[in-house]
Amino acid sequence: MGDLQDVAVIGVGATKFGENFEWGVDDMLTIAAFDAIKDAGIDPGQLDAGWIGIQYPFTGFSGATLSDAIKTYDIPITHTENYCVSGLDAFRNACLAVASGVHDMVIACGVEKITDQTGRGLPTSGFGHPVMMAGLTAPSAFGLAFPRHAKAYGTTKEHLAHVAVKNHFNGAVNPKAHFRREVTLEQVMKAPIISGPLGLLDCCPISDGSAAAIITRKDIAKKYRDDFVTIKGLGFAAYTNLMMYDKNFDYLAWRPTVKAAEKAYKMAGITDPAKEVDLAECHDCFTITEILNVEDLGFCKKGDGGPAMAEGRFNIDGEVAVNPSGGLKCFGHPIGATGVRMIYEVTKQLQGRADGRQRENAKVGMAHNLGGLGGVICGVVILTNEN
Amino acid sequence: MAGIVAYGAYIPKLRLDRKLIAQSWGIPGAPGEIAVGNFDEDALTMAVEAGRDCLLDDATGVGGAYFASTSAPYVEKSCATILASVLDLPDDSVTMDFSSSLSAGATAMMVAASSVEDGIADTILVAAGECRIPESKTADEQTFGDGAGAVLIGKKDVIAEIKGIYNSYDEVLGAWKLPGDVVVRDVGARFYASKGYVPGMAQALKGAVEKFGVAPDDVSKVVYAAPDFRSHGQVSKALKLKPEQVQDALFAFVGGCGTAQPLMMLAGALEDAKPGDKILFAGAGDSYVVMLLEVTDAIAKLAPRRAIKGHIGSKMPLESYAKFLEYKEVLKTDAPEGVSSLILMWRDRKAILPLYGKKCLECDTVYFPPRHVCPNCHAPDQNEDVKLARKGKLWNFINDNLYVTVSPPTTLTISDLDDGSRIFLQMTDRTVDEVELDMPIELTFRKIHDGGNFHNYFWKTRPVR
Repeated sequence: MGDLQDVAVIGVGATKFGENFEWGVDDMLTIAAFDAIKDAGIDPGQLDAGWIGIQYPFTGFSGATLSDAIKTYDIPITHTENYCVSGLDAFRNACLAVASGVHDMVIACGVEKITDQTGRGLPTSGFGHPVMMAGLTAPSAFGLAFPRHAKAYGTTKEHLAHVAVKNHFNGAVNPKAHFRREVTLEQVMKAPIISGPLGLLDCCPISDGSAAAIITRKDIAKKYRDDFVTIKGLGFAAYTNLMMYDKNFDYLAWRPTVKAAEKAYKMAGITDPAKEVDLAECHDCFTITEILNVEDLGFCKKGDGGPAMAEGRFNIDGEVAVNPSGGLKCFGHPIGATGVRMIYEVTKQLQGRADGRQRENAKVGMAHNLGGLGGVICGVVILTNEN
Repeated sequence: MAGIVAYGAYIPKLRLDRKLIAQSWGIPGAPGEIAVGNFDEDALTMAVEAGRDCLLDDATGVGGAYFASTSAPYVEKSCATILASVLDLPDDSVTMDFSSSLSAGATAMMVAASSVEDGIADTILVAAGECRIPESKTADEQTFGDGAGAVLIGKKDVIAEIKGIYNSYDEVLGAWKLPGDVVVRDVGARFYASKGYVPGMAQALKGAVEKFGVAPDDVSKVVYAAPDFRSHGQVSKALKLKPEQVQDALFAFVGGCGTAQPLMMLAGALEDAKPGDKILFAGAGDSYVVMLLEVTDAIAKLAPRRAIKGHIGSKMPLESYAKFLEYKEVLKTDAPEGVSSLILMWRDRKAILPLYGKKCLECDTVYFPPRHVCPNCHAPDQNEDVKLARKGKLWNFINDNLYVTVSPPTTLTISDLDDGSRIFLQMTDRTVDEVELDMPIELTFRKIHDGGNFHNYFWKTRPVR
């Protein structure tokens, strides 16, 4: 049996995220995968397995979506679907396969092509029951946390706005981000309301994109580069699609985040996350999501997410740099691609290659990915360059 | 003979000031307002609400449901069976649909009385709901109103005995719809009042009084349906009825509710009735159905209900005439995403229509939707079906502008019902400003969307009326 902590990332790639009207699934997967293959310095023929995260059937079915794009015929390729965690779960399964010793050199990627669909927001009608779930949208499912969190801890709309301001500040310098501009607190506060407290600028955009990572064992990685990164901790947890019917769910925390983080921290030996984690790509589909997440990840005390955000504790030079890439909010959120895109960013940060948005002396970075209408599934991957 | 055991009514919360209609067209407007079903209401959902009011959400012993409407949401397919399912009537209940004529509500009452007499069922609920679509820029537009009425017909604990029934008909074409018509066509009030309704109703009431052998002065209230306010008054004038004998036909603040109108008026009359009162009741359409009712001592023991008085003052303004056209689907706008499965809706029918959840036999948790494994203690298949409470408290909510609906924002609510269950539902009949954590809520049966080309009904929350 191998050890997950011997699993290394030796190459990452990503397309520009955004309204990529001119690109289809095949175009984006090809760009991201060959970007990663080139970054790793391998030949595509060396790949002996692949995983691909896709959320929506309209983007693609089955592993053949990947083999059709990059012609990795005759190796096993698995499609993972786990809401917004589809991509990070592709990465997880790739890591487990390498750790098991069955595969030596694998690719994990994710892709989503949302703008081929017309309509408002994310398509959600297929997610639930025709009448019981009718009316639920992504922003309302997450936004339901606000009234309870505000009542318990005094969280305000302005606290939420600080998340958007921070993430746009970080993403504005990121060449592959959907948006390349900063926003002011006033702009966020005055944006048209989408759902509850969430205005247009509290919501991540509808983006297309793809990302990929090449994964191998540490002993093999050394042959390709010195600055590979390795798995330090990994934890995933699924909860329920029916949290709005669940009296044990209080909307004060994303339970899957809490549980996934517990596992990842235990494996990584991390006891004080705010001090031991340098940066985190943290799921910020909506600003309220990040407020709860930074608490659930232990970056601040429960209830302090809003004030801590306003104090700048999660800025690029703060206690923990949260979403140095710009996050889902500014970088974009093509559902199946996002988890792998987080691995892309964390890897670049740990390699000191995050031009213009580099967290100083980054040694430990986290990819945190939360999925489902209201936080159903969570994956936490902690990477390090201390090998 | 059979009689009325209980009554109920429903008036939708939305009211449209007639001035808004008149201003839109630059025509004279009548005073007052009309009751307008919300975008998620139809003749059936309103009949369900009236039926719930009549039964006070307890269908124990009820053995039948008769539904009447000329604006039923299905042309082919029974609505009475949906009504019976939602009210949780037993499988061996008798169901029947009455339509085609505005007299159908009163006819259904007559048939229910006969059914009870014939031993088909001990008690039968009759519910009439009406949601007629008037032609734009006509007098009908300021006359029609939406509403529902219900009576429970039986032989035990009767609050008003049926002492006699009289029928007549008169073939005069007054109002009609051809197959495929959306709006009601009519011949014009002047001709129909002169040669149709006024002489027809006057003759029917005269004939009935003669047959029943009752002196007109001995009748406390005459409850008779009418197509419009003016012709209602012409009948009382023709019969020389004293003003205090004439039951309000609800035209001023509700409008003409078609098949439901006589049942709603009867509810209004029974709200004020005393033991011994004689009520002359008449439905009118192409035919006339007249009944003599005599109020019994049991009326004093009838539990309180909303009926007319509890609904009429509970209202909110419909802000524009354009909204009225949109809600009536005269103007077609964005429709909600309609994705459904008839088979799934059938499979889940007990959860969707009478709203059953589960109670865990291990930890007593009441939960919804029904599932095999308890979400609290995780015991598999240790549960029983339980009908959920219809009242509760709002635990969490959000107003969402993203969901495509004719009436944004969609207020999504998480409520703790009085039986301890927690449920996620849309909220209706609310102003955005009035929604707050911990407010008391009650449930109401509504149409969610028309996905799959059929009506997808379910429950919503609303502020307590």
